Amino acid sequence: MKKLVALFLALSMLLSLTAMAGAESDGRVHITFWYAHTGDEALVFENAIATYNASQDKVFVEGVSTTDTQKLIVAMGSDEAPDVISASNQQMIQYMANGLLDVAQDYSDKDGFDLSVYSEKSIEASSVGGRLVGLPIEAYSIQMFYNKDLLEAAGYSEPPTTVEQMYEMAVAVTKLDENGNIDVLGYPLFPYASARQELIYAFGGRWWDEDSNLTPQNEGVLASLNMNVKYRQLYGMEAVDAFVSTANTNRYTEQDMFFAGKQLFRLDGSWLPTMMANYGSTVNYGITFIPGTEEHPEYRGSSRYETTCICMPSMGRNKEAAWDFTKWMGTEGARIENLGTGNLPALKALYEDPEILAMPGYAEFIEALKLEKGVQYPVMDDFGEYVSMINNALDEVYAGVKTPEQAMADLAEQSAGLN
Amino acid sequence: MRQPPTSMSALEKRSFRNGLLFAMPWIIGFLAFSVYPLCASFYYSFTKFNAVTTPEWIGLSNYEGLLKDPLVLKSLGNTLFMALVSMPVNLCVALMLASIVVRNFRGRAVARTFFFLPSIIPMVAATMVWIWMFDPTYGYINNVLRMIGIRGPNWLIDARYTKWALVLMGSWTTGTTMLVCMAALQDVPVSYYESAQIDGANAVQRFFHITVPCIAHVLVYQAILSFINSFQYFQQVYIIVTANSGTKMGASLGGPQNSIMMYPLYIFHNAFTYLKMGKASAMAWILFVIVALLTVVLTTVSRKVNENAGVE
Amino acid sequence: MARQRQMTAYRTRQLIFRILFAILVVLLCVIFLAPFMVMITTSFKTNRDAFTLPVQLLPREWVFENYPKAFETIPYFRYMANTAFITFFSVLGQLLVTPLVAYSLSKIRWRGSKVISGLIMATMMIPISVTMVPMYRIYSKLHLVNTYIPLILPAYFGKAFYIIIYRQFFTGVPNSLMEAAWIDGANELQRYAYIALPISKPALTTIGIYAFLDAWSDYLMPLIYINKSDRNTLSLGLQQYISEHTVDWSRLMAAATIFVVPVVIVFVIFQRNFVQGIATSGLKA
Repeated sequence: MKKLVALFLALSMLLSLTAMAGAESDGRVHITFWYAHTGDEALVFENAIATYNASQDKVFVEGVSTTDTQKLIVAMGSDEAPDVISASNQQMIQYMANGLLDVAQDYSDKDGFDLSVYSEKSIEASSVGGRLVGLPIEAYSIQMFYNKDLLEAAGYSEPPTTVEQMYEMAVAVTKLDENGNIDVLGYPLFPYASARQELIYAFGGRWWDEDSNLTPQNEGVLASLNMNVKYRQLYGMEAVDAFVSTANTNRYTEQDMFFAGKQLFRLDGSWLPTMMANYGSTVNYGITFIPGTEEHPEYRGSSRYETTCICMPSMGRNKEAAWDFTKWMGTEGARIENLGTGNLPALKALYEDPEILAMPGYAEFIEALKLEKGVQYPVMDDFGEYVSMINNALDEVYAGVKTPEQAMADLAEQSAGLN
Repeated sequence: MRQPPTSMSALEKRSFRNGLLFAMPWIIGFLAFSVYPLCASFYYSFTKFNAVTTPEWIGLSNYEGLLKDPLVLKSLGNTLFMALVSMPVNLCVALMLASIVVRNFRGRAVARTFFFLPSIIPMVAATMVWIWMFDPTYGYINNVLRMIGIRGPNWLIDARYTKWALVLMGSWTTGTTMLVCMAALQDVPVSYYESAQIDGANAVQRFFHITVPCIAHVLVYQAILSFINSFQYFQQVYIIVTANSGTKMGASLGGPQNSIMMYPLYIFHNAFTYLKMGKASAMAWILFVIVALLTVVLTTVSRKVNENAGVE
Repeated sequence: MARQRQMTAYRTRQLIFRILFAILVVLLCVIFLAPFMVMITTSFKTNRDAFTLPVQLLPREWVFENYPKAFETIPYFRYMANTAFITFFSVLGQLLVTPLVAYSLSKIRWRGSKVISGLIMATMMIPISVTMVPMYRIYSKLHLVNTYIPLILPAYFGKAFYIIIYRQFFTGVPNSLMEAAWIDGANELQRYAYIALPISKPALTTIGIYAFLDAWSDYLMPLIYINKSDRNTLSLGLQQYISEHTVDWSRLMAAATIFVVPVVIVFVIFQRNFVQGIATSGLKA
């Protein structure tokens, strides 16, 4: 026992000494920048940060990659708050409601920084109460990716323009193996997030209206869910769930179902082509607008419109340095970021940038942006809870526990008390 | 009897001083880490605040809000499920393993090591491996089931099975209970079994008439401990849900249909995701009252059991 | 003759029983080891291999690149050092304080020891969730978030479960041992240090082990208090790994393996202490 204690003591002292070392100071103001991108995309951010640091003799930025929003929120409320963060406009609304962020426009007004370098749409999306909260570095919307070979094999030469056609093609392409497991999934039920949004928007469905009233019983929502359930019942709820579950397990890896040619339609973002190129996927794919309905062709091309912004937590301590970096990251850094990750720019100047124009899938996405059919998030305090309730209601519909009508009526009742 | 050197009252005084001094660390800790937070939490439960703002008195609104939130009841139900199903399952598994390793056979030490090993590895690593094993298509569990002709369920995505998946995971880490049971079994006098055998009792009868009563007090104590622990059930579900939902808020925070939304997890999300610290405090207090009541009931029952078993 | 037949029948039954028993034991061992096997073999597969049907336990092609990659993605030794630091000071605290309090409750006769014992039992019922928010507020106000103090400090004030185990041990030690020394004029502290503490070595080992396991794999507290990546613990580090939206499962299994291996090594070396310590703990309460 003594030996054990001694050994352990010696070892941990040694280890903890190494843990203590490492903090350097070189006279520059150290600030921390938390961003939510990971993996290869995190490298892009680190690259941008290094570029900034190299150009600086006053400020030194330390980048931290974390996807854990709880951690971010907790950190922002503590005295060791990050000085600068990246956040989606959806998160920004929640953070603003809790007083966690400074308003970037206050700084840009003082500094004489011209906000008109950003596209109007991105400014609109990144503002709360008419004031720009963070500098948008990327915009994203969702488009429909389709596997050309699978579609052609089923005898279709063109991608669908209406959800009715989409359903027909999905059924024609869906393939089962001898055990009744789904081998190729036709209907775009994965990823979860776009099944909740774009697959609803395509039917004209909305979870909220323009005045931020909640509208779960909207006709389009019900139409979309009914078609969803029809597809699930055709192949068996459990078989579909099994496929989606596995698709979720290996999402955005080399074995991603779409990259591996096992998904016909995929509603996803502009980063997908860059990822596929990086993984060397050989899938022959096309990109097209998200379909509308036969009755309402004008729904075609609807998608969420989201931005990622650089913002400054109100509890951060080095405001001056933080604003300097925010400004840089919102302009020069944004270009590095857009090029590296394949995300769409919010800076107007970059729409003409030859290098950006050459990114895979870029043309299609810009075209979609021009349609101006982006759906924006509502301004409400309890948005996170509403999303959680929606997800729960969708789970119930997918599992066949409730009919769409029932589930949405219950959702309307539950969400009535939200602010 | 030896006579103490000083008068009784002086001795008493000194003992009191010594006793208090020795227990002082705990008393301070009790005030700082239990009494204060309990009171503060009680106060917070009547206020509205997030991590940054100062608490603002809103009376009973938080408690009223809990009544209207169906997820509060649902998460409580899920937690009770784990307490009532997982606890007996774990006890049975532990008792079974213990009655194996208490026997003398070659390889006994090895078997004991294998049974105990899962209990010491960090929960995060273990949970990841289970997520991988539960995959409906590529996971080992369903592939083994397929070999014997059973079509396995979608463990972590089908709300009917998610909790059972957790029960299965839990029964894998019963090593500590197993060791305690093993020690208890070793203490059962061999003579009891011998005389029972002479009376012609078979193995099953011996188990229920000798083994169980003899170790009842240990079982009850373990049951109470694991029951209380069920109300802290958090880590595994948090990890499973984070792994499933990814970054884009794709899935429910409590698993499919919130079927594994545990009460502590919902408190955590209210406090640190929705920043409703007041509501979280109200929920926490309700939990505290429930656990306290249940513990009193259980301890009373266990005292009865011990009396019946003839153990003091 | 009849007696002999009876004997053989008995022997056969015994043999059958032993065979069935052996099968049961082997089967259970396989079940309990299966997750470890899955973890280790998957870590030597390519990700493509892991997602190929039919599923095979052994890799179709052994690859070792997952390990260097896992070490590259996670600052493993840094996290290990952090975890060791926290664990060391937590265990130290528990070892210092638990025997003191337990001694007070079982070997000093004083008014109040009953009350304290009752309160200690009662604190076991307080769920962490109740104290989480107020404690977080305090530490935040004291500027202690992102330090290890919130994780270590409570250990220096005793934990109910450990104190109860320890008190149970002391109760079993005859008072005559203590009284002999008291007659020699030793004071309470000396009696504690020279007699009680050395006697209670087995209990000390037990709570040391419990405290080690608890601190080493603690998750909720670091999750709340630590949010700087270079201060992560092992558990948090691994969690962070999976929360990234590109999860390469074979690499993840390699990461999990290197997290598990040190614990398993420690366990195998000190198995006897682990087993005896835990076996004696929950008994008499």
